Amino acid sequence: MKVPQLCVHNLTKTFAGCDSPVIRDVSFCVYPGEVLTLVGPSGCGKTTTLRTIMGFEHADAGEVKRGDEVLQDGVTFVPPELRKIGFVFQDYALFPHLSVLQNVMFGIRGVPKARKRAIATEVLWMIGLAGLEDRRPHDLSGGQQQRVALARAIAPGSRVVLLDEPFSSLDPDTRHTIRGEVRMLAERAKMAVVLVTHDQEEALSTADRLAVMRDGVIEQLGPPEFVYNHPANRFVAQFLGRTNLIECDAAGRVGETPIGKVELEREVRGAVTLSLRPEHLELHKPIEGRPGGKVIAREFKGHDMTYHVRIGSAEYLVQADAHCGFKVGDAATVCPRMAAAVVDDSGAEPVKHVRLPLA
Amino acid sequence: MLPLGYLVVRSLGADAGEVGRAVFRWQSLVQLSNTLLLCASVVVVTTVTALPAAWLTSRTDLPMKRFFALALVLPLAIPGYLMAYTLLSLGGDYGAAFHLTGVSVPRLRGFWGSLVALSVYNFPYMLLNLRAGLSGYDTSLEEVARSLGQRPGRVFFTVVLPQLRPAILAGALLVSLHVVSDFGVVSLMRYETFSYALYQAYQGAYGTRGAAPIALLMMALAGVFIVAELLMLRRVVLTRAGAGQARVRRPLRLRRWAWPGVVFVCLLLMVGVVLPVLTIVYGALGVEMGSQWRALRGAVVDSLSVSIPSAVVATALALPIAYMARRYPSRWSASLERLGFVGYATPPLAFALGLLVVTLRVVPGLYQTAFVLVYAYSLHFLAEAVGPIRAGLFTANPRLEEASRALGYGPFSTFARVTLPLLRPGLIVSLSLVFLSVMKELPLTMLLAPPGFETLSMNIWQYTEDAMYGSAAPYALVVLGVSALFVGVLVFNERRMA
Repeated sequence: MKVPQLCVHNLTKTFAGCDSPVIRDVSFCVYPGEVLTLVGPSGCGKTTTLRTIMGFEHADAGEVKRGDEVLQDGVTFVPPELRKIGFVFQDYALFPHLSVLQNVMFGIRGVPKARKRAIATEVLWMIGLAGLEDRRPHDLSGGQQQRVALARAIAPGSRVVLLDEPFSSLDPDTRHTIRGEVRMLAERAKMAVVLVTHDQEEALSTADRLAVMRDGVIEQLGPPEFVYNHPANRFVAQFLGRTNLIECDAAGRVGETPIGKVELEREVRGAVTLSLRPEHLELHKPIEGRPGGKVIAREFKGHDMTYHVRIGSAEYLVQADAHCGFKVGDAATVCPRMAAAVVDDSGAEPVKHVRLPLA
Repeated sequence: MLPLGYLVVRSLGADAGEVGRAVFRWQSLVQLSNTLLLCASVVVVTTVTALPAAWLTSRTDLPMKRFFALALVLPLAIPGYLMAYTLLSLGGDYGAAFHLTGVSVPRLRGFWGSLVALSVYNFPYMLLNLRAGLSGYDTSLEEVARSLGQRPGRVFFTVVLPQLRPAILAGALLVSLHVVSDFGVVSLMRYETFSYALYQAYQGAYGTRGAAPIALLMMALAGVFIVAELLMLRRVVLTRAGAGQARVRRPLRLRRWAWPGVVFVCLLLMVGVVLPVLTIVYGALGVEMGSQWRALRGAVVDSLSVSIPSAVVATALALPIAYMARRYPSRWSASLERLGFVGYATPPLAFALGLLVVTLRVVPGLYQTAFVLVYAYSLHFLAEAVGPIRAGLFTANPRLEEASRALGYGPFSTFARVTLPLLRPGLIVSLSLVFLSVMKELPLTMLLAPPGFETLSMNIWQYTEDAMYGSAAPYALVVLGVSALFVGVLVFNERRMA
């Protein structure tokens, strides 16, 4: 059994003058070498969660533990400087009056100066900034600044690093490279990394596990593939990429929908809502026994093609490969490739709940 | 604040009838009307000269516009008493003008002398306010008025002037406060306003007791100006109504009016900058320094001995005030910051008198020591020290402090290792502004200087008062140099912020 590096339990915080809490009962654990991503629309409380873990904000209730050490609970409050947690700011917050090397040396404490210099140089080398030691932060490109901020946060030897929207001001290429570097660093140094982003694509591609937040609450937590393919509710389904939300009359593992019979991922009866992503659907020539429709638009995306298909009164998105021969106006029908996720069963008959095992 | 409160208490504590007689007498009425007349006249003269100058340097294609825009602000650095000295030494039968050109110009004195000197000194304040007003306002309104059939001349009065009202009011307030507070000009010109009367009463038989009622009147007048401006501004609503972005119009083409414009601006520069500089340099060249070197050196040393500690104390006070106001905004920290501006707006003579009374009563051991002088300077010039630090705090963003906390430094070492180094340029500007201001300060020094203590400004004042213009010239030259440095620091600071 692995021991979590950082544990957050029931963290709740209300800002002075606000009625509702910004974050409510937020709980998760991060393990060594793991990247946990908090993702959600702006204002959902993800940055506040991060700042509360760091101790920049005082939580009203809840617990933060680094390993076995309690950083915060009802009694204890460890100030940020004693938490031994690295923090990377969205705007990097590099000290403009210090050189790159001095920035990285800043947080290394309790060792002779020569040793500090050696550690800082090594971290800079590891992160690909060797040779830039004497530059000032404003002489660096955005990606380099980002790397210095990262180096500065990990140089003191923190085993936990928090990243607040770290890639949002980088161009796509640099962003891609640095994302990879962060993952590699986490694995190599066995660090627990918590990363905050509002970019769902970034969240899916960087995270070992991801937590989707809305209005201060974690809506779903799990490995990205799982959360993407089995969204727990409408919000998660719609926030992570495009999806088709389909009303369904369920009868066990199958249900009747406007596009025909659909297999369900779990047993449920009554009126439910399903989520089927465009790539979970296939486009066919009209088939006997399935409701037919018409292609009304198509978006060519290079590697693939997204069709808009109208069946009955609703419109469905279907992903197909770029050589698929359908044209706008063609008659077509839509078939699911896999079992559909049930994202809303509030109208279903109460049954003994069978939950899928959470990873 | 304490000295002012004390002043009130002390005046009231004295025999009420005595105070009443002191305040409500014929002489007070004359002083009041003189002060008001001078305020009004200076406001009118500065507005009438600054309005075309502001318009020319901000809205037209005047040749060398940027140079003139900067140069026209220079009189700000020349203290009023130097301008008074210039006017006094220039005119008259044996004045500098007679020596140079053979033509004797009349020596301005009294009301007219005060008016000219104070107008020149205050012109830049009005100019800066008007220019801010002109650059911030919406030119499409002018075009609307034109499209509705108004001729350009009328547009100026129906549209432009009303829009400039807040700027003119703000400028008028600042100018009026300066006139009420001014001591150097009116005393040298022998024009009996409150501050001259206060000084005379203080030097007279009754000392502080005789001067206190006048100080109260002076403060009341300054208070009335501030309140009046607030009331008038409250009724003015000048935000854009309706959608649309305020548009900046192309500068107006002057064409054949360009040269008259340049001549006008040059004339202003001649009176405000060239004239005093030439007069002072000419006067200083004509002096046999010999034995005067020692006296001059003594004055410089005396000035330095108070201006350096004042700069340090004022900056040290300003640092926490600016920091609190920026990082922990609250009613409390905001009023603390405003305190600096109270110190600036309070007429220095009244402030000095209050301070004298308090030290005599509470800590007589400090009476007439340099300590009180430094205390007075620091509070009076606090606002000058707060400004640059406040601006510097904008660059030192709170994220940097949090970054340092995350890297293991507590609040105090974070301040020392991160905030302070980032604020260093701002601190240096604050230090130099206060230092240079104290070097040329006059009224506080006159009342609070210890016996035998003679600063540069006191020497200038005394020699000019005794009509020994030649002897005053070397001191004036040094103060002029200080003023030039002052301008340099201001320009440097502008550049840095830009």
